[in-house]
Amino acid sequence: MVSTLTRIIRFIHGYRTIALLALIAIVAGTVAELYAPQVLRTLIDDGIIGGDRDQIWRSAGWLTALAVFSGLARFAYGYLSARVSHGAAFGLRKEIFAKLQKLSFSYYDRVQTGQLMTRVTSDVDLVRDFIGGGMVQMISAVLMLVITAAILLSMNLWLALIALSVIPVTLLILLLFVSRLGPMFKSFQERLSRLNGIFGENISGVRIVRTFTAEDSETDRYRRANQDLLDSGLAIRNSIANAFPLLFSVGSFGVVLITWVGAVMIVKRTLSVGELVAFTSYLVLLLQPLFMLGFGAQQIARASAGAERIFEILDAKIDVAEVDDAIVLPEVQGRITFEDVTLQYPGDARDILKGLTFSIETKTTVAVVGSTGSGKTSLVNLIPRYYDPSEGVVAIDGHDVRTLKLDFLRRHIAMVMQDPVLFSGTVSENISYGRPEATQDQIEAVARMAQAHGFISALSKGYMTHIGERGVTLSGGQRQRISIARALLVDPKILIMDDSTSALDSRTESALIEDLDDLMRTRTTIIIGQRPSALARADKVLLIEDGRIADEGTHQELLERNCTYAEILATPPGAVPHELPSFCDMSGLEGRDA
Amino acid sequence: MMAHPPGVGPQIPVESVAASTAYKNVRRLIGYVLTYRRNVILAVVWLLVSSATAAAVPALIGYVVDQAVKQAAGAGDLNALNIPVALLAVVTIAGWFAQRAQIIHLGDAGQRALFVLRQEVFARLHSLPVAYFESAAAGDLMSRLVNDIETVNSFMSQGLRRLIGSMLVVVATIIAMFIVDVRLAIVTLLALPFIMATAWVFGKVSRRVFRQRQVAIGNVSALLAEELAGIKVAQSFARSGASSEAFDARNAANRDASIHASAISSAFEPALTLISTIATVFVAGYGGMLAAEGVVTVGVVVAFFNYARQFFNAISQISTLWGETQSAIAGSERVFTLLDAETGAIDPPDAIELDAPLGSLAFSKVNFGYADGPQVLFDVSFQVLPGETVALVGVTGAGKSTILDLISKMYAPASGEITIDGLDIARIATPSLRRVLGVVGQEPFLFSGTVADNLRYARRSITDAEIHSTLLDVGGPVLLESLPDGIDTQIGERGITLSGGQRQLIALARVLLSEPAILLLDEATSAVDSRTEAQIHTALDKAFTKRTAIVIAHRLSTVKRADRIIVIEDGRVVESGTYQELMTAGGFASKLFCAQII
Repeated sequence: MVSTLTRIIRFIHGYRTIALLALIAIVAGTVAELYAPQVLRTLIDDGIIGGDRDQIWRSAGWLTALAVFSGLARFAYGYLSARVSHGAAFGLRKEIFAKLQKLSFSYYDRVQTGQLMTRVTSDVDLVRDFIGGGMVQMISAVLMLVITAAILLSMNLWLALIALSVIPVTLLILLLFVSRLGPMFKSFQERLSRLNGIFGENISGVRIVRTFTAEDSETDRYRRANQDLLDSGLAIRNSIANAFPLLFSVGSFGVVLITWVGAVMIVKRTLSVGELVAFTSYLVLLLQPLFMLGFGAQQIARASAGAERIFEILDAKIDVAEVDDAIVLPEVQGRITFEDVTLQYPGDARDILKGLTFSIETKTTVAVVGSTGSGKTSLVNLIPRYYDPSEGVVAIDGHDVRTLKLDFLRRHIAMVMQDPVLFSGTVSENISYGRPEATQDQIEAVARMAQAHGFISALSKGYMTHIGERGVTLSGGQRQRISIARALLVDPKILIMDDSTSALDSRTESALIEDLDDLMRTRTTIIIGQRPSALARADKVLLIEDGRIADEGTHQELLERNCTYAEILATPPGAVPHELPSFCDMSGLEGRDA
Repeated sequence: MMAHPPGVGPQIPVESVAASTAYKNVRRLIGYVLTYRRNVILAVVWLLVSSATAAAVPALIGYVVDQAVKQAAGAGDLNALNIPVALLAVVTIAGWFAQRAQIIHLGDAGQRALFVLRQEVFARLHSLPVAYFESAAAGDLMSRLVNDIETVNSFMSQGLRRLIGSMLVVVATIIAMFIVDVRLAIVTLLALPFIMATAWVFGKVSRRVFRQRQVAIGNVSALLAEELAGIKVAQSFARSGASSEAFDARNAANRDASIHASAISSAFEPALTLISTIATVFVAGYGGMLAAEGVVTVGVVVAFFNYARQFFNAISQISTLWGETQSAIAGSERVFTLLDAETGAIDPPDAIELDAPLGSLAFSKVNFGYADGPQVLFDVSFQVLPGETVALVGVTGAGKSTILDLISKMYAPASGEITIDGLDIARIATPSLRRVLGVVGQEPFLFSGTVADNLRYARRSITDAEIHSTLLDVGGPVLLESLPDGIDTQIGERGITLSGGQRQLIALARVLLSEPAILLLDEATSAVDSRTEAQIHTALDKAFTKRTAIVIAHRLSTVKRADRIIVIEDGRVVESGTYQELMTAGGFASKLFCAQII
C-alpha cells in the first residue's frame, strides 16, 4: 500500500508549489480557528465579567477578523487543492489513455470495457479525492490535534486531561464499531451489483424471459436478491445505530464532564467562566481532527485500492511490442509466408494453430475455408500482428513481421473484421477513417465498389449522415459494407476480409466480388468464408481443420477430391442437385449455401 | 465557530425539479415509508425527544455556569451544582438513545419501503410491452433507472432521517432561544435571511458549473467508451494516437470545469461560516453588553454561544441535504414514470389456457405496423398444418420476423386474426401460449451463469445427462470440447465469451429441452457453418418429427428442407408451395432461389 501511495504522489510532483501553498492555507486557517476560543475567553472574562465594554467590542472585532481570515484560508485551500488534485487526475487519465492505445489485442480479449471505463473514471476519482482532501487534511488533522492538546494542557491540566481522554475513547469506538462497517459495506455492494445484474439481464433478455414465460421465476430470483440486500442493509443499519450515536455522544459526555468539573473549579475560584467556555469550544475542535483521521484512513484504503487497479493498467505488459531496430521496407509486394506457425492464446493451454506452413503469392486471391472454431480468424490475425505466434515465423516479402515497424506493417494491410465496428460521426468520416485526407470522390468510389453507395445516397443527408449513438442506426449488412469501403480506401497491399459479407444477400455479395475484381488483381487478397462467388474467384483455397491445413488447391480441385470440403459447403444429404430445373443454370454452384 | 467533519460540509444542489411534480413525487415516496406506520410513529417520537434534548443542553450548561458564578461569589455550596449536572448527564444519555432509536426505526421503514419499490419496478418491467424496451427514450430511461433507484435508496436510508432531524433541531432551538431570551434570539435569527440569500445565489451559480462539470466528465467517458469499442479497428488502421489530441482536449476541459466547480463549492462553506460567525459575534457583543448591565446572566450568554453553533450547524446540514433531496426527487420521478407507463395488452379475464395443442396455425388478413411507423404487414393470410415445417422466405425487411413476433404475442396485430387450432391467440392466456412455443432468434440472449443454468431455463427439472446429450445432439462433440468446464462453464460477464455460433447452438438446445409444440426459428443457425447446421437439422428432425415449425433462413439448404415455402415481399404473401412447385412456377421465388438471394 505504501509503495502504491508513493507512486500516486509522483503524479503531484508538477504541482509541488501549489500543494505546499494549500497546506500553508489550511494550517493558517486552522491556527486562526484555534485562536478564536482565546478571544472568546477574553471577551467573557475581561469584557462581560470584568465589565469592560470596549473589550467586548474589541474582542468581537477580533473574532470577526479571525472568521474572515480563516474563511479566506479555507477557500484558498479548497481552490488550490482542487488545482492539484484535478491536475493530477488529468495526468493520470492522460497516461492511462496513452497506455490503452498501446495495449495489444490479447489484453482487450481478457478485460471488459466496463472495467476499464470504471478505472479511468471512478478509480481516478478515488485517487483524486485522496490527493485533494485526504492527504492534506490528514496532515492538518495531526497538526491540529497536537496544537489543541498543547493549548489545553497549558490552560488547565485537569480539564485538559478530561478533554484529552475523549481521544482514546473515540479511537476505541472507531476501532471496535466503525472498522467493522467496511466489510459490511463491501458485502452490501456485492449484493447490490448482483441485484442490478438481474435487473439488467431482464431488460436485455426481456424477449427470452417472456418466450419462456419465466416472469414469475425471474421475479422470485429478483425477490431473493432483493431480500438479501435488505438483510444486509438492515444489518448495516444496526451497526450504524450502535456506532455513530455513541461516537457523537462521546463529545457530549466530554462536555458534561468538563462543565461539571469546570463549574466546581469556578466555585473554588481556580477557573474563570471564559476558560470554561474556551475549553468546551476546544473539545469540538479536538473531535474534528479525530473524525478526519478516521475518515482519512478509509479514504486512503479506498484510494490505494483504486490506485492499484490503475497501476494494473499502466504496468500491463504489451504483448505485441515493436523491436528497437524495427525497419520499414521500401516497397511492399504482398507475398505472405507462414513457417511452422503455432499459436496459443494467453491463459489457454490449447494450440489454436498447429504448425502451419504455407505461402500466398503476390497479387493472388486466397480463400480460407473451415468449420466454426477451426482457427481461420486466428490465422489471418497473425499477419498484421494482432497477435504474435507462439512458435514459427510469419513473414511478408520474406521479412519476419516482428522486424517491421508496427505502423508501417498495419498501414499496408487492411482487415475487414467479422463484426464491423463503426465510430459515431458521419458516413464520410467513417469511410475515410484510415485516410482522413481522402477526397469525396475517392470516398464515393470505394463506397460504390463496396456496394454501399446506393443505400448511403438514400440516407437523409447522404454521406454527411451521422451514424452511431446519436445518429442513424444501420443494419448489419450496411455496417459491413461501410467497413469494407473503409478498408478499400487505404489502398492496402494486402486486403483481408474475415467473413465480412455474412450479412449481405448473395446478389449483393456477387456484385461486390465482381466490382473488386480489378482491385484483387493488383494486390494480395485473403477472404474467409464460403460464399460461392468468392470461392470461384479465388486462385487458391486453404482448407483449415482443427488448426492445421487439411488441404489446399483450387475450389474445383478440392470439391472433387476432398470430402470434408464438400461437406462443409454442401447441403445435407437428401437435397439432390439434379432436382434443379434445367432453366436455372447453376453449374458448379448447385446446392451450395446462399 | 462552525466546522464540519470532512465530507459533511455543505454541498450545493445540482438538480432542480419543477415544484408541482416534486411535491407529488415526494408525497408518493413518503407514502411507501408510511406503510410501516409503527416504525414511523416511533421514529417521529424519538426525533422529537432528540431535538428536545438538543434544545435543552445549552440552557442547562448556562444554568450550571450561573450557579457556579453565584456560588463562587457567595456560599460556595458545591451541592447546588449536583442537580443540574445530573440532569445534563440524563439529557445527554437520552439524546444518545433517541438517536440510536431513530436510526433503527426510520432505517427499517425506509429500507423496507425501498424493497417494495424495487419489487414493484421489477414487476412493472414484465407487464410492459416488448415495444417499450425497443424505443430509444425507454432505453435511456432504463439505463438510468438503476442509478435513480440508488439515489432514492441513499436518501431513504440516510438523508431523510438527517433532513427531518436537522429541521426539528432548528425548530426546537428557535423555541428554546425565545424561551431563554427573546432579544438574543432575534439577534441570532437576523443571520438567517443572509444565509438563505447566500445559499440561493450559490445554488444558482453552482447548478450551472456542476452541470458543466457533468457534461465535461460525460464527454471524457463518451470518447473513452468509443475508443475502447473501436480500439482494435484503430490499431489495425495504425491510427491509435489519432484520438489522443481529442482526448487531451476533453480531459483538460474536464479538469478546468472541475477546478471551477470546486472553487465555487469551496467558497460556499467559508461564506456560510463567516455569516454565522458574525451572527455569533453580534450575540457575544450584544449579550456581553446586556450581561455587563446585569440584564442577563453570563450563563445566558454562554448558552447562546452553544445555541448559535447548534442552530447554524443544523442549517448547514439542511443545505447539504437539500442537494441530495433534489437528486432523490428527480430520481424518483423517473422511477414513477416507469411505474406509470402504459402496460401492454392484458389477457381478457376469460382467457383460455392452451394445453397440448395439435399445432395448426393460421393467419387471416393480418395487418400490422409498429407504433408511429409505416405499415409492415398487409392482409397476410396463410395456414400451417399440424406437424408441417414452413419456411418464410423474402429479402431483408420484408416482414418475416414481424410475423414470428405476432405469433408469440410480442406485438398485437392491428387487424385480422391469428389462430392456433382455430382459436384466436388474443383469447389465449399469454403464458400458456408462450409455453407451447419455442422461439430462437438470430442473436440469442444467454444469461450469465453456467451453460447448464441457461439450459435449465427451459425446464427446472432437467438432469445433467439430458443437458449433455442435447448439447451433443445439437453441436456435436466440438461444442462440448469448446467449453472448458463442460456444461458447468461460466458464460457472460464473469465467464468465457462465446462466439455467435456457439450462442446459437446453446439457444437451440435450450428450446429443444423446453419441448414446444410449435417451433419458431428466426435465422437461428445463421452463425454456424453448413456442416454443423446439417447436424442441427438432424437433431431437430429427431425431436420434432410431429411438430409444427416456422423457419426463417437465408440458406437454400435450410429452405429446401421445409414442407412448404411461403414467400413474403413487402409485407405481403406473394407465393407459396413446395420448393419444386415454386421453381416450376418460375415466379418471384424461383428468381430468388436461382440467384440464391433468400
